[in-house]
Amino acid sequence: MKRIAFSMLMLYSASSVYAASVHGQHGSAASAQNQDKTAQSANTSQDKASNSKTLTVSGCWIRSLPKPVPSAAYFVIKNSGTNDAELTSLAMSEFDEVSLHQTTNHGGQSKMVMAHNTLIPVAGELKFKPGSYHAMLEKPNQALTIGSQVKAEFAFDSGEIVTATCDVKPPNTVSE
Amino acid sequence: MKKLYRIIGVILLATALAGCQQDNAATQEFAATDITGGPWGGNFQLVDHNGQLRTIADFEGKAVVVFFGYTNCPDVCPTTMAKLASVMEQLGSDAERVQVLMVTLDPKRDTPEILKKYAPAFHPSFLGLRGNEQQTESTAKEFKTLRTLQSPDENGSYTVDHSGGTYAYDPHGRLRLYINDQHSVETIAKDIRALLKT
Repeated sequence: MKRIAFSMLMLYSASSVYAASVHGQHGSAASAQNQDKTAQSANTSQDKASNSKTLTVSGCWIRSLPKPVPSAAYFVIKNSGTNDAELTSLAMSEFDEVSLHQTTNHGGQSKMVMAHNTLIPVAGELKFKPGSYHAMLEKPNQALTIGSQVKAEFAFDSGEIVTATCDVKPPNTVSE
Repeated sequence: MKKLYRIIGVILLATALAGCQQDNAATQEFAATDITGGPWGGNFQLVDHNGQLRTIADFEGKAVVVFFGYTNCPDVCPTTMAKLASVMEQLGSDAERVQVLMVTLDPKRDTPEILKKYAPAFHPSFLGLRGNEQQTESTAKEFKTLRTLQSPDENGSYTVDHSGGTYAYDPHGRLRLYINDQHSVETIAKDIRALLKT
């Protein structure tokens, strides 16, 4: 009985809630940097900044899911410039709607909300990875082929644009 | 008289075995939270993505992993499904005795057609389960799963707040484990292997 009560307590404390987000907007709350310093192994795309000389996007990949299910894109943005940068939007022609989200976790409770702070500090980086920051890709207008690449345009508050390619990966891709 | 002794012997043996089985269930060590014996999550009655009514009894002899989610959840749900697919790979031939079930918390949008494309996209053996709104709500309650449908935005798009984690039954249809999202593929595979031995 004690064990069941303990289990129930654990279950309650470990339960997580994923909440909806407002799409495509950004706030300015707590820094995201601390949550995104851990390693991610999905860096297979060979992307470099195009228009910006100081911002680079690498390791961009998309979890391919059957149409019309929305999917997510993950990537790493690095800033080698002398000013902080903030990602404001992301566009892919294969999806009619793309928005920036994040999953937060507080005391075992996770919540998916709009991406509050997409700041990339000088000499720093921001990781979009499963269970954390992610770009939600909605309303796919075509089926993506696994193994193909999709062009993505990242826009920053400075007006800079970075174009990168994202690898289309299978649904069961696990990113450590 | 001999017959009587035989009957008594059989009864004693059966009692001892039943006791062992209960003890095994009670003393097994798992990385996940052991919820054995809880008065909930005993069963479900939902239709799979092929149109077949399913209860836990259909999977006798298999460890059953149950995940509650929905297909319009772009990050955490597919991440969990991918992890479970990876667990199946890790289990090798033991995976034949494991059944992963994804119960949709959003039956309005997750039609059988969508579930049929979605669940097997992660692993061919995965089954999507669906009920009507009332069945979905009662199943979520039975598993202590939080489920709140958010108000639709201007485009009619909405999300569903829900608990994370997965549940695991042993091959005898007993709900045994709550596996939170932090457990690794290796840890989950180890726990499921242990369940298969019960």
